[in-house]
Amino acid sequence: MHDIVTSGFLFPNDLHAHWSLMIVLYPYITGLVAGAFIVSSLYHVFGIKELKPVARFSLVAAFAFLMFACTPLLFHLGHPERALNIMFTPKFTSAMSGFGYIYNFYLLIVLLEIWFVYRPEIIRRARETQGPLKALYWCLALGSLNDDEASLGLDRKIISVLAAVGIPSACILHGYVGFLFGSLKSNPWWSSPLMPVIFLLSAIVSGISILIVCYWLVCRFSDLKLDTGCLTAMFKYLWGFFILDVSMEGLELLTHIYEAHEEWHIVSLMLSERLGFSFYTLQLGICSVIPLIALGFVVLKKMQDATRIRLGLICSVLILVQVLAMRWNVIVGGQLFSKSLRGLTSYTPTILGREGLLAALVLFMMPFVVMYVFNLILPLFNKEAESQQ
Amino acid sequence: MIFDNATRQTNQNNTPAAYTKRQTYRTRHEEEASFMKAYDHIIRFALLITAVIAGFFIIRARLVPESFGVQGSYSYAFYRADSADEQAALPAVHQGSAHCSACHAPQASLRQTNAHAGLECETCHGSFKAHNNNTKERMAVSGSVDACMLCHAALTARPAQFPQIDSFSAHVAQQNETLLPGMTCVTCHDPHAPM
Amino acid sequence: MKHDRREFIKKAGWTFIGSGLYINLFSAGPALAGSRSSALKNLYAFIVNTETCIGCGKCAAACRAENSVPDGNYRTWIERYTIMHSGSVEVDSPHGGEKGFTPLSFNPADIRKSFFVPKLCNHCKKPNCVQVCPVGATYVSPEGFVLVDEKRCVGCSYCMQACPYSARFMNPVTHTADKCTWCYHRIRQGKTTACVQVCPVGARLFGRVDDTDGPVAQLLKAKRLQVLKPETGNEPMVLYVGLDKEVH
Ligand code: HEC
Ligand code: HEC
Ligand code: HEC
Ligand code: HEC
Repeated sequence: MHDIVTSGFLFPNDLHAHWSLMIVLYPYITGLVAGAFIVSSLYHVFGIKELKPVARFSLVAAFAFLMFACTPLLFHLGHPERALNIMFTPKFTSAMSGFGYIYNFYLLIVLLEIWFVYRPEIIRRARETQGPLKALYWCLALGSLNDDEASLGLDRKIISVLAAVGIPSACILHGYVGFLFGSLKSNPWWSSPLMPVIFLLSAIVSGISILIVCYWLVCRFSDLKLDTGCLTAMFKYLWGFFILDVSMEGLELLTHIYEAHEEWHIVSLMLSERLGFSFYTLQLGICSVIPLIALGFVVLKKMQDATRIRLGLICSVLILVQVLAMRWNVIVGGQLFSKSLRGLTSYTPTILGREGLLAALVLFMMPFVVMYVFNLILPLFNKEAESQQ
Repeated sequence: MIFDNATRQTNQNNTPAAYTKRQTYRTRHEEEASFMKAYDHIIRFALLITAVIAGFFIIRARLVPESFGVQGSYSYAFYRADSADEQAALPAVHQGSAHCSACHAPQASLRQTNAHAGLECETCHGSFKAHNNNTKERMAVSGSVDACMLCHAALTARPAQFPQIDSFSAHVAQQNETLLPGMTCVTCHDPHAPM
Repeated sequence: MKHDRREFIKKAGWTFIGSGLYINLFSAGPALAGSRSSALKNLYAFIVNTETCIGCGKCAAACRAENSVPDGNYRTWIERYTIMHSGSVEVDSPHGGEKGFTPLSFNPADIRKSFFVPKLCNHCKKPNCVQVCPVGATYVSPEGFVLVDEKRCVGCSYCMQACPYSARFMNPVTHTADKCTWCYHRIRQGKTTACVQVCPVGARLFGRVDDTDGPVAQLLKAKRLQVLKPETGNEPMVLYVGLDKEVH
């Protein structure tokens, strides 16, 4: 256990940060969902053809992250066994209560879309395989092995409707997470109407970034051929959304500084004394400035594909760090000053334990395990289509 | 019953008119079938989801306590009504001076007319709970200097009119007495009637 | 015939689902509302007099004993404000003031004024903590007390984040939200709160607002009172005599 470092006067109940590392991880994972889903929608709804190679993968990635979006919360709750109370007796004046329903609705949409997208594949495999595998695919197809043109045409229609419904759902899901913090009038570092917007934009950029990194890794370590056009298109969207994201974050900070409310004194002290590195150096500095400029070059300048990809990849990783730092700075930062507005406390995550670093790391790896298992059953990437091009 | 129906139908359908009727029926049936075929998987999925949702509501009905609900205002009074009554039934730990007086008449009457009249027995002696099994030691407080200084030590934050003393030794010296070993505040003041 | 049966099954299905939904979604509420509901009136108020408080900490100690408050957590505590001639403000609350205060090391000549401020849950009229509870585990009782149902609380800590006064804490024993109840059990049993009872100088007062002869109503009439952080819009029901602008 790390000692808590305090300075100034804290209300006696303000010594510990109630929302720990797990609550940092929760919006991070949720954000990856929203971002990945937006990418798939860019293809399915907006017809961005360059994104075809990752269209399926982004859907499955969204699903995999979604499956573990709630788990950090369960690790954090005082009574995880009562978690379903939030759906049994939801009180809708609470920003949190909608979560169970929004989450499940969104899960259903993603699940449905994946199912319809993969149905021809499932049916083909149900016909071609034997034994327990056949049974598995038969179950996945819900026992309906009908892939005539009528039903497939119907599926295509449904997919585009689902993708279209999915966009606002993804926005609601993540904007909602921002609202959860932004609507707390008791906390001057959270309470801001810009919070949902910032959460949403940072969600989108982190989602695109993780897709870029995963896609590159998969191509690197398998015989899949990297589609440069697809990557370049993703860099383009990443840059665009990142410009918006950083401007919003900057605007919020600027408003705080300029308005200089009574509470700003302690918040600014907290930022410089407790979050000097993660806020100023990481979030605002290295991980914002470099990707902003470098992605500009990647998108606008002529350069060799290999350089472009390498540079873009570095930016994607930096952006992943930026968003994680942003989650940390918002959630932990909001709890490092006392509501007495006169004192600071500290928070260092433990290594072991229910809410420790190790648990968080394992949790974060789980979606990738899900993707791996998914790939064993149904392919994440369409190799045949790839070789035809 | 079903068999009967079937035979009756075939009997009736032997007329030419019924024959054409059956033709149209069949084509409609086929149409319906191909339509159903295209929707087959969707219906299955819908049934699955419906089953899950129905299951959710069945479980919910079993798990939500009966007294849970809106007790007036939804915003501020949406709760399990029994919870308030459960809390109201918690035992009180502090009993009040009147309760002590029944058994400790001397202290009670001493206190009545004195500077400490406004003080509750439990303020100094702690809650009555410790007394429950009649172990008098638990209830007893030492007449130590610190016990009195908790309230009477001079602090700038204390209201000026409240009687305060700077330190034990200074106070004793002020009374033109010599500080003897073992002397505490209760040597000169009865805690129940200090002045 | 066949058609009829299908029709019947369809109808039965809808009726089943419909009635199920109705029973599940709405029954618990209205069925009970009649027996328990009474419009929220906030019948009680708590008055803290910072001008008479001597900072002995007996209230916090009594609260701990009365409500089995775990060590390190506070349902009520006492702060000491020391305001210097320079304008700087020093605040301290060692152990929540529960073990009393020791003299300060400042030069008395530098001190403009100094006073104690006891704190507790404000039992607000529009409590933010109740607003944000996602499961209906915290609520305003018919008498206007803000309470926690420790059997429904999931321990998400959202209410702690929402309370502007940090009156709430995570109970390390029950793993649920915990806070001052204004000694709800004692009030329902006709007693006063533990902290009010043990206060040697009457710096704490609790009582009904509508009882015109009662001490609370009298003080409400006689004194000009202030609440903590009125800008949050929670409408606290703990009122302070002699609150200074330095106090948050
Ligand atoms: C039911 C009767 C009863 C009540 C009520 C009661 N006590 Fe006692 N108390 C006793 C008895 C009997 C003793 C043991 C006396 C003895 O051994 O001399 C005792 C002992 C004590 C002692 C230790 C006396 C010593 O000589 O060390 C203290 C202090 C005390 N009580 C305080 C209180 C206070 C304060 C209350 C009220 C909260 C209270 N009592 C209520 C019966 C009672
Ligand atoms: C100012 C704090 C204070 C208050 C208020 C107080 N006591 Fe005491 N009481 C003491 C101290 C200190 C002693 C120990 C005296 C000693 O060591 O000689 C004591 C001793 C006692 C004893 C042991 C017998 C004795 O007289 O030494 C009893 C019984 C007792 N108290 C009962 C009561 C009761 C009943 C009340 C309420 C009516 C009460 N006390 C209020 C401080 C207090
Ligand atoms: C819980 C706080 C508290 C404790 C503990 C306490 N007192 Fe007091 N004392 C008071 C209060 C309140 C008064 C009344 C002050 C007033 O009249 O303004 C008082 C008054 C007095 C007075 C009368 C002062 C005067 O000028 O009228 C004396 C003497 C005294 N206490 C002595 C003691 C002694 C000795 C002890 C230790 C056994 C003690 N007190 C413990 C609160 C306390
Ligand atoms: C040697 C006996 C003696 C001892 C020991 C003693 N006092 Fe006193 N105290 C007195 C006398 C005598 C007075 C009355 C002085 C007066 O009337 O001016 C007094 C007065 C007081 C007063 C009222 C002072 C004022 O200015 O109004 C307080 C308060 C007090 N004592 C508290 C204590 C406390 C607390 C202790 C223990 C730390 C203590 N006394 C120990 C003899 C003593």
